[in-house]
Amino acid sequence: MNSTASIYARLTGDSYLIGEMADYAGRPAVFDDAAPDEFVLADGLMIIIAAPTSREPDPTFSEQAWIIRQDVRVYARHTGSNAKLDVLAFYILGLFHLQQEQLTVEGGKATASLASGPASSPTTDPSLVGRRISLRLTLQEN
Amino acid sequence: MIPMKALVGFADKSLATTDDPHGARGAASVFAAPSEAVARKLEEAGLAERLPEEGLNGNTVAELKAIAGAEGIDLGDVTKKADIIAAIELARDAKSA
Repeated sequence: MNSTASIYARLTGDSYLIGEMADYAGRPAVFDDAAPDEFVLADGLMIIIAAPTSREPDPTFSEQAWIIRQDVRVYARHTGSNAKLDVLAFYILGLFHLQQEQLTVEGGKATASLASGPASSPTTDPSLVGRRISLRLTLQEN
Repeated sequence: MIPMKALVGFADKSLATTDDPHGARGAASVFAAPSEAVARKLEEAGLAERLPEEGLNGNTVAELKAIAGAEGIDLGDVTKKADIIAAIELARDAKSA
């Protein structure tokens, strides 16, 4: 069960968010773990889907499920105001919190999707400012 | 596991106030975070061992839903106990942040 793929699909399936995002190679700037070296964020948002920080089995008598904790980080160029970034970070929070029915999971389904944040997500690049949304997903295998 | 009804009944007798004659809000507080007085009464009733060590884990799903309702926490369609506990803890963290 690929939680990163589910998160990616949810993020890139939202037309409002797509409209606020930067492009990379003709696609929304959503990356696993890190942005490519050649990518330079000019306008719009960049999103990093971090690798899961934990993946715990949560079986029942008849089904196997996994509790997965994973962060989504969103970055924008520092312009002196983070207001828009914060609005979009809260928007991303809303895309996931209690929205398990909206998640597409290959080989299963999401039975819970909890999101917290946004919190500050420091970066080594001083020209960027970031926010972190923490997800806790329960994914049940078919 | 102690049925919720038993705890509510316990609250009826001990937690009723003039503006809460049935102790309903008191019952909610038993589930959420017991005060010293409530904890003492729970101990007298032999119920203290489930608090606070077990925390929310010591509650049934029905009790957890009651706690969420009392605290105004939206659980959506979440149904599994572990998920409900996570939702309550997350909401509490957000309120205290």
